[in-house]
Amino acid sequence: MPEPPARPGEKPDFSQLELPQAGEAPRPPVDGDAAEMHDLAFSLVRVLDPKHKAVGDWDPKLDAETLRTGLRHMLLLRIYDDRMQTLQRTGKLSFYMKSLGEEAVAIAQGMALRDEDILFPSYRQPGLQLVRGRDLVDMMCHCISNQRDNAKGRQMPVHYTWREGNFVSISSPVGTQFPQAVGAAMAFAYRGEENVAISWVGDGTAAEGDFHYAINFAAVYRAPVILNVVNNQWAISTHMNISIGGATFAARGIAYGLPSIRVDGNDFLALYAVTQWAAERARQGLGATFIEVFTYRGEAHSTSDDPTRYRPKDEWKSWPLGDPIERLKAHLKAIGEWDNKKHKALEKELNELVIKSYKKAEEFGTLDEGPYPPASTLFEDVYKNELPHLRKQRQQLGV
Amino acid sequence: MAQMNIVQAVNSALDTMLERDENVVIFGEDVGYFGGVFRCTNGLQAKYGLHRVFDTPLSEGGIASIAIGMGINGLRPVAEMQFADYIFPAFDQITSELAKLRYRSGGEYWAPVTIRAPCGGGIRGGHYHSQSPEVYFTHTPGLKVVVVSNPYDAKGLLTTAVEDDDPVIFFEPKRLYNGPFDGDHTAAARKWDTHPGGEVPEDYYRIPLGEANVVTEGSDVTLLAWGTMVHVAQAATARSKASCEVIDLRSLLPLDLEAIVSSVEKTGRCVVVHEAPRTSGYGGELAAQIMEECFWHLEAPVERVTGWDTPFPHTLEWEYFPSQERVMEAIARTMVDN
Repeated sequence: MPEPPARPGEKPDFSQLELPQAGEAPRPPVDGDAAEMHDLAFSLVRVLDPKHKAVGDWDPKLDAETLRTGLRHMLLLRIYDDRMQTLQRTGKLSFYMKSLGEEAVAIAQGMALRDEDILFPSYRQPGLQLVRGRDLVDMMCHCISNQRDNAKGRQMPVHYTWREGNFVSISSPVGTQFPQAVGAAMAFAYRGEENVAISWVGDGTAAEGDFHYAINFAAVYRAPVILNVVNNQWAISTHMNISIGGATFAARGIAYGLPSIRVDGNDFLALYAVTQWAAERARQGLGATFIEVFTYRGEAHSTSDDPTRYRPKDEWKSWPLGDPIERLKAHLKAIGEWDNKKHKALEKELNELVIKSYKKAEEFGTLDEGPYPPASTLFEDVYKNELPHLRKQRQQLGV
Repeated sequence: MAQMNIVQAVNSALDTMLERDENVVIFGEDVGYFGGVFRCTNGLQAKYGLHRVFDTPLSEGGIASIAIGMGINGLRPVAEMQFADYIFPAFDQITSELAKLRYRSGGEYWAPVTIRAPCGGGIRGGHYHSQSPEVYFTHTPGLKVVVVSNPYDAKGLLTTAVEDDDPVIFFEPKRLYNGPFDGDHTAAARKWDTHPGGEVPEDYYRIPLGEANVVTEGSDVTLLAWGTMVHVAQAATARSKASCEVIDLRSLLPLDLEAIVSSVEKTGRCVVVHEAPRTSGYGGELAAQIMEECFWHLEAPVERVTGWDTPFPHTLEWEYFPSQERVMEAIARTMVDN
């Protein structure tokens, strides 16, 4: 039976990881032949080197303003997460899930896309909403399930939906969104639009049938879709060794004929570059790209989980690919575009924003005291129009 | 009016909808170039092109999920499951995703998907080519469920299903594709030109979902049926001494409860006939609703004539299949002491 490298009480051990240097992985042309890129599925695209400089072909050469925006979004996501998790502990939310250590996934990948591109996220990419400018108050109203929750109180927290931002409603059953994204991509292609669809699943979900449906259909129809497996090492307590028998997750894409790229998920620049490459390829009508985002889940799976029972307590601190926020911050400093003073000021500003937003969100109601959506909404949206049997049941409830 | 069988009527509905709405796309296993194993999509790819009518990998879960994604992104997909028996790999996508999308997103997202599936027995198909899985879907809020019994209804209901913004699971009893079947497997096969339902307009028309069809009027017993069992019930009625009213429910969800109640209030007796197994079958649901709505009008307990609680057999198909005789016996039981 496979086992993770370390269990509680043991020293974190990542000595088995082969980590290529930044700049080592070659960047093929966007219209390159997938059959000539197989090495990318076993390598690791990295741009930030140990001295925090951007190196190699994959450097997306982003201007400082874009980098600072990325840092701001990631920092906001972390502060927002901390605040919401704390509020969950005090009973203000029924449940929460943090993105700790994986902030770059939603932020860098989201920033590499266009607003028209449609997002099919899992519950670990709420940061996409920050990229597309969603009001924090609206996100919080969903999480505290008050009357302004646009999901009308029907979903657990973190299961956001935001049509205006092309952010498709999140589902709890893992992986279902993966092949749906392929269908959405096919619809873009059908209409001759240049937009792309993108979806994310975790390493655990890569064992579901939906995972296979998605890659297979994406390859068969050359759908303009980007399919990401966020390998954060852990699916609740299931280590990736129990999800995959060998090779890499990225290598699975090769068998389907897709360009398959493994990327350092804590390297903002690498993630941005790979996503941009895949999006450009899709827009040119050259089909799907499969990406393994290699990272580490810094927090518990959710507030219902206690990872100290199955992995070393401080394992994240030993993660050899570091912290995505610290790495981008160090890069900005290394190129003379950031300093500790500015960082402190930004942290303060974002903390205040989160606190202010939460106060505003509570004006629309709280989980404990309401007001909640009216009881009649229980029966709405089951169908477009209310069916007779539901009208009768609504009347039985007296609403 | 033209003479059509159900295969042709389904084809005509799909043809009409492809013509009327550029967002309609059709796909499934063998549906493209070949035109479907039952020929329902015959000629459509040649007429509308590869991008509108296409073959898929053998992947029911994949078919359902791309349909959902397309529906989310503005298309109106009609997906075919080659047999209703093979719908189960798509069950999660249909029941967890398609059915719940509008609700869970607070009405922000929906997918106007129609899933067609040939269902039912009577073709020597054994347990994997004969099942009637309609109740798995009527039990899931968010889905509409249709079972057709003749060509005219098939076209009119399919047109409505495709135009519906809610997901519709559309069952086509394959024993009825080429002709009506009254359960007598020893009789010569009939064609649809012997049945009024075989007259089908070539143009666009709709039959609303949730409107039952009283196919035979009567005063003693109400027979509720759908799909192939409509014909079995009608044949049994013709041989029965009692005056029977046969109602073809056509759509199980939404259900035309009004039509059922008004008939049972008149007759005071009811027999439900379905091919699917008895336990947790839709007959149980109907019996309960009749009890709730018409208890004081009932002269006899509601009877159920159904498939047995076994997998659908191969060799002993006719022992399983609800027969005219079993329906007649049930009718007679409701008439005892009267």
